[in-house]
Order: sequence, then structure tokens, then C-alpha cells
Amino acid sequence: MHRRRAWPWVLVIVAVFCVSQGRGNAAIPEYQVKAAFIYKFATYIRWPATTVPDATTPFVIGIIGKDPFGPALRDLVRGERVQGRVILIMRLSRLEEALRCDVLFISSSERGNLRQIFAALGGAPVLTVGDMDQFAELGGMINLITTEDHQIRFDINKNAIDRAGLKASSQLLHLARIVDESRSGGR
Amino acid sequence: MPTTLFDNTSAEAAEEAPGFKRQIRCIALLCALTMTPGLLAQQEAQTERPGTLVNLDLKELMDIEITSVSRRPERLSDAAASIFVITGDDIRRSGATNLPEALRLAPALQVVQVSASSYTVSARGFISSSSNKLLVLIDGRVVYTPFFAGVFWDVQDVLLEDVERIEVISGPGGTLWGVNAVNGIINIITRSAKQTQSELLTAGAGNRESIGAMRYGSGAGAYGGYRLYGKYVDRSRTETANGTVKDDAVHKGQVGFRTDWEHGANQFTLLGNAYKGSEGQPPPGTLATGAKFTLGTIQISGWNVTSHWQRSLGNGSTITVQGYFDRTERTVPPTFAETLNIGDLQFLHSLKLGGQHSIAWGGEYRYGLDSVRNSPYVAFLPAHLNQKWMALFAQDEITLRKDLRLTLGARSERNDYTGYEFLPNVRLAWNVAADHLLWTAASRTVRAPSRFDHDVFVPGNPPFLLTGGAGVISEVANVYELGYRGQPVSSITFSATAFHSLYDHLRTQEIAPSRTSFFFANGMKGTTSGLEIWGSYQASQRWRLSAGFDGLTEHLELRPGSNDTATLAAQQGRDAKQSWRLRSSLDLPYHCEFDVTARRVSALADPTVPAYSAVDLRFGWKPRRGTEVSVTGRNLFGKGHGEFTDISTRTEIGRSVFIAYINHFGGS
Repeated sequence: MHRRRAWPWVLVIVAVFCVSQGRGNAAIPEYQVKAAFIYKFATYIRWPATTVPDATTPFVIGIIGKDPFGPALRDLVRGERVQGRVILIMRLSRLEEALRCDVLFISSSERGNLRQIFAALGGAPVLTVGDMDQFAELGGMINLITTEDHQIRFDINKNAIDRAGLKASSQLLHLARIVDESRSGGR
Repeated sequence: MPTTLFDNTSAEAAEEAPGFKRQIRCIALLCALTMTPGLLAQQEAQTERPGTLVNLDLKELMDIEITSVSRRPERLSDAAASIFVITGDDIRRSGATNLPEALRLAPALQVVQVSASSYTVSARGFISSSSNKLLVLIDGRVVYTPFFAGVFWDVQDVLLEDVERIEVISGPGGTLWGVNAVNGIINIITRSAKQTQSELLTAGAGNRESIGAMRYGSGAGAYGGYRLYGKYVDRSRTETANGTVKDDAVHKGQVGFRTDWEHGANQFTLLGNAYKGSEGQPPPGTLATGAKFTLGTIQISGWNVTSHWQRSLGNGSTITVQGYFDRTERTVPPTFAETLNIGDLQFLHSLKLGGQHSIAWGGEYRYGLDSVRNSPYVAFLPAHLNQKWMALFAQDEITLRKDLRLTLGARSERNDYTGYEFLPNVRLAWNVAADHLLWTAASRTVRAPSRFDHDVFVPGNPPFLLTGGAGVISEVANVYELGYRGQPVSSITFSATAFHSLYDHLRTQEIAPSRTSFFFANGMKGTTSGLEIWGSYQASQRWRLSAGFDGLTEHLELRPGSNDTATLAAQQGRDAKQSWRLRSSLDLPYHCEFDVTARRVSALADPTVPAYSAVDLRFGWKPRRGTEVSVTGRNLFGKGHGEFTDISTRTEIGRSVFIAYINHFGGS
């Protein structure tokens, strides 16, 4: 009887002890992984030759709306390059700045403003990435989706990528779920 | 085979002999933990650099398991109300096997178990066998019954794995939710079909119950998906404190479906559930009338269908239309049998005006057909009754300043017993700083009479001892609240709410002047005040601690003319004045989890329930992606406790162990 009462406490002590020994085999915070995806997407996309500037121009990843990454994106790309260019993270304060980006992450806080954002981009070669319901169907290019068992998948709207003159590698398309824009006009 | 980032020390090896290798390592770990923790630290040191993520290719990134959204410290919600959110992941990690047990996670709720599947849940006092001041919704369907005033928790079930979250709002919500949302709202929300696109098999067994469930999800395309599920629950009989076996075993099956479509600006959901079961009826029975009769087995069944359509009109404006049909049947031999059909239709339009106004307005119509088979012991008169409820409401959230929002709202709701009820509220929210919200609210809310308040007669034929409550009116509460919610540092969330409620016309059971019978009236009034505090601390990426406290004082008194001193004493004696909750959620290496929950509830005076503490532990292990094995032990220490009602009939809740296995097949 006495032993029975003791074993759960042994577990508690072991568990607490284990924590004090440092970090372990935990899953990774959502937006650290999503930041890695965004960086990775940039390496699987070819921008039209006319717009590729020289190596001294930074490669701009913009964030519009409420920034869910915190320092995760900045920390991740520190010291990394895309097309030999230094990566810069820009938090947009005005919509016009979207045209200065190479990649634009559209925060789910901007769900109501998607139409204006896409209009401001026109057909500019800016890779739009989001993580909201129906983002790709509504005209975005790549939508990050969290599955039930906590993994990341992505939808690609190939038409939108083509319209912007971007070229997605076949490997990227192979891993994605390809979706169509909604027939109701891709709003 | 999951190849998580932190496993890359042995990624190749793991591929060679996946399951076996992992098992060995988990076992080895358990041994190693006790002896050489230093080894562990060494092994893990290399896993901390976030920079390693950029070296993975896309396919490897897709294999990473992320901490679910729920595990992040919750974002500060801007709502000017006392809200606690129980996430699906919280439920899983608590080891809860039914909804009331899951609700124990909410610090502001008092959840008590009376027998194997008879629970009572209340907020801010007024607990009773049918806690009648708390509104409960499952996927938008109100499960508070207008027959009994309260919730039959024994039939409220969902596949817990499909729950996205449970929103627990303590305090009044009459303007948006209608009458009966006096002291709180519990809003149980299941995931969309798109989020449940795997096949799921779960089986669990323990000394108290066994549960088996399956779910099949499919069809996710650009537009939507569907799922089907079925579950079976079997609970064994419990015992009272002196060892008497109670006749409260339960067998219940439930099936259901949900489908979601999205097309452009339209979202459409159709879902349904059906259940059937039986449960023993231990003394004193569902309705105790003082008469001596043999209690029979309760039969329960029902089905419901809910459809929900939402359309975005642009500019932040949406229209929502929802309709449901809900049929419930309950046979309680020998006292009564009831069949209730409810149809409900509601409409909501939310829009933004001029950048300053966020308006929501709408209406609701509900029709109920209630049919009771009366007995010589109890009668609901009339036996058949059709009722309708209608409501119109509007609420405007006005942005006064960037950091200051004022909400004004009101609802007018009509019921057949008392006519029109007015339910206004005013709320003010002030974002003192980015992550600090101060809010205050004043609300008027009512509980409308149910058939139980108005129509119940004992015995079933004259001369009656209890003659219903023909003159019963609504119970009214005016509630004042002050709250703070904040995130002082990113790892700490904190919420505190103080409330003061003034009640009037509370239900009493008066002795008729003839002194030969009782009748229901509204002879009690009073005040309650209390404090609801909770917080969480993300001690490390893998360890989360949370705590909660709920304190209550009640001052009830009889109105002039009332002689019901019994109800007065009983109500104040039934509510716990204090309760505490502590929880630790820990991710161990090798996909293991360890959770501890401890709670303490102060003593009840009438009927006497001594103060008790309960400690629950859960150990879970995911040997591979999609598979989870867990062991949950409840009330592990001490010699058991009772929670509610008289010691001679209540279940003595003792040690229980439950082993569960979950497997997801396929999926996205």
C-alpha cells in the first residue's frame, strides 16, 4: 500500500529533474518552422530575369499585418543568402512598400484586406505567402497549413505564381497541394 | 516515421529499425533518467540552435512536428469578459474521458460528480442538481433543456479528439446568448471537417470505464471535406462511501458526421449526432418525491442536425444563418418519460461602420414541442406543451480611442411564461499597454422559468403536495465585473476577475397558506461576490505550469412573505467557497509527456461534504507519428472523496486508472 502511493511522486521528481537538465526532444514552435518554410520557398522559386538585381541588393522578405514570427524569422535568416543576396526582413507600414519585397508574408490579421493587397501588387513578381484559411484559393500564392498532427503542409496556387512571372521548381510543386482559385472570382 | 529536428542524431539509424529502435530508446531513457541525467543534457545540447532549420530541405521541414497553436502562451484576447479557453490539446493532455471531466480544467467552473455519469457544473455559485444558471452550447446548439432548467450532462458527448476548443465565459452573457446565460456560458466547438482528415481509432480501458471510438475523415479538396464518427462508452457501477454498490452503470453509443464546404465568400457546415444508451438509476432517483418506488433503468436517446452558413460581404461584414433541430428522449421509470423536439433558427449580421463601430445584430426563433408521460408519482401539467421563444439583439463595439473600446448591447427575448425580457450590457475595455487589458462590465440578465419551475406536480394526481409554480417569474441578476488580463512577459499570462452580482426573485418552494401543499415562487434575493484568478507560466519550451483560484461569498435572504428557509440554507450550503487548481504540463524527451493536475475544493455545509484534494497524473508516449499510448491515474492519493449531495447516496470517488491508445491512419 505504501509503495503504491510513492511511485507517482518518483515520476514527478524524475520529470522535474529531467527538465532541469535542459531542453529535450520537444516539438518546435510553429512560427520558427514556418519561418524556415518561407526562407526555403525563396530558394525554390525563380524570379524573372529582368527583375533580378545584382548581389548587392538585399533580398527583401516583407511582413504585412500583425507579425506572428517575433524574432524567429530574423534569427533564422541571419547570415543566410538568397541568390547570393543578403536577406532583409521588412515590416510593412504602408501598402505601397509591398512592391519592394521579393517575398511578402501576409498575416492572417489582413484577411479582410486581401483584395486591396493583391490589387496593390498588380502582377508584380512578389511571392505571396500566407497561413490563413483559403489563402491560396483567394488569390495568394502559397498557403501554409497546419495538419492535425502538428505538421506543416502547403497549398500552391499555380495560376497566381504564373501570372506574376515567377517560376516554381517542380520539386516545390510536387510537395504542394495544387489548388484553384475560387470560381467566384478569386477574391 | 517522424524525423523531427531534434532526432537528427540518429535519423539514419531510426530509418533502419523505426519502431523497435524508438522503443528501446524510450525504455533506456526511463532507466537512464534515474541514473545518468548528465548524458541526456549532453545529447540535447546540440538541438537548441534554431539556425539548423535552414539546413533542412523542404521535405524534412514537412516532417517536423510543431508545437500546436494551443501550446503557445495564449494571445491576450481583447474581449471584455472573463474568458478561459480549454484547447483540444489541453483536453488530450488532461486525460479527460468525458466533457464534464474536461471542464474541470476551467478554474471558474465548479464541476462535481454525483454518480457514474451524473455531473453538475456551475459557475459563480448556485450549484444544484440542475445548475440552472449556466448556458451550454455544442457547435452552436443549446443543450440547456427548457424542460428541466439545466443540462443533462449524461447525454452531452462529442468525440473529444475532435474538439477544437471549449470557451468558458464566467459571468453574464444574456445580450448575445439569451436568457439562462446568467452566470456563464460554455461553448463547445469541434474542429472543421477539413482539420480532421485522418482516420482515427481510439480505445481505452480502465477500472471505471472503457471507451472505443472511430472517426473517418475524407474529401478534403479545395472546397471542404467530411467526417464520420462513432463511439461507445461503458462505465461500471460506483460505490458510496460505506461500500454500497450504486446502480449507475452506463452503456451508451453515439454516431455523427460533419461536413464543411467553403466556396469563395461562403462557408457552409452541416453536422449531426445521434445517440442511444441506458444507465442505472441509483437512489434517490432523477426526481425524488418522497414516495417509495422501485427505480428502473433510464433509457436515453436523441438526435440532432445543425446547419450553419456564413457569407463574407467584404469590408469586414458577414452574415451568418444557423438552424438546428434537436430531439431528446429520456425515460425515467417509474417517475416520468419525456420527449422534446426543438427547432431553432438564428440570424446574425456583423459589420463595421465608419472605422469606429463594430456592430453585431441578429434574431433568433425557437420552437419546442415537449411531451411528458406522467406517472402516479409526478406530473408535468399540461403533459404536452408547445412553446416558442423569440429574440432580437444588437451590440455595438465603439472604438473611442485606439486603446479604449466601449461596448453597448441589448437583447429583447420573449418566452411564453413571462413575456418580454430585457437583457442589456455595457462593457469597457482599456488596453493599458500592448499586453495589458483592463475591463469592466455591467449587465442585466435573467433566468426564464422552465417547465420544471412552472408545471411540475407531485404526486401525479390530486390532491397535490407540490402544485407547480403558476405565478413563477424570471430570476433577475444585475452583475458588475472588473477584470484584468495580461501578459507581463511573454512566458506568463494572467487573468483576474472580481464580480458582484445582485439577484432577485430567486426560486423558492413556499408552503401554501393551507399548509397542505408547496408551490414554486420567487421568494429569495441576495448578492454574491467573488474572485476568479488564473495564470500560466511557460517555464521552458517544454514545461508549462498553470494555476487557478475561484473564491465566492454568498448572502442570500428571503423576500418578505417567503417561508422557504430550507432552500435558503441549502443553497448557501451547497456552493464551495474556495477552490484551487494547479497543473503541470511537461514534454519529456523521446515523445513522452507527463501531466499533473491537482485541485482542492473547500468543504460544503449542506449536505456535508468535507474539503478534498485530488491529484491526477497522465503519462503519454508517442512511439511514432499518429500513435499515442497514455496512462491516466485519477484521485491517486488519499482514500477517495465525495463531491456533492448526501453521503448516503453520492458516489465516493476513488482511485481510477485509464489506459488509452490512439492511432491516426493516413491523413494529410
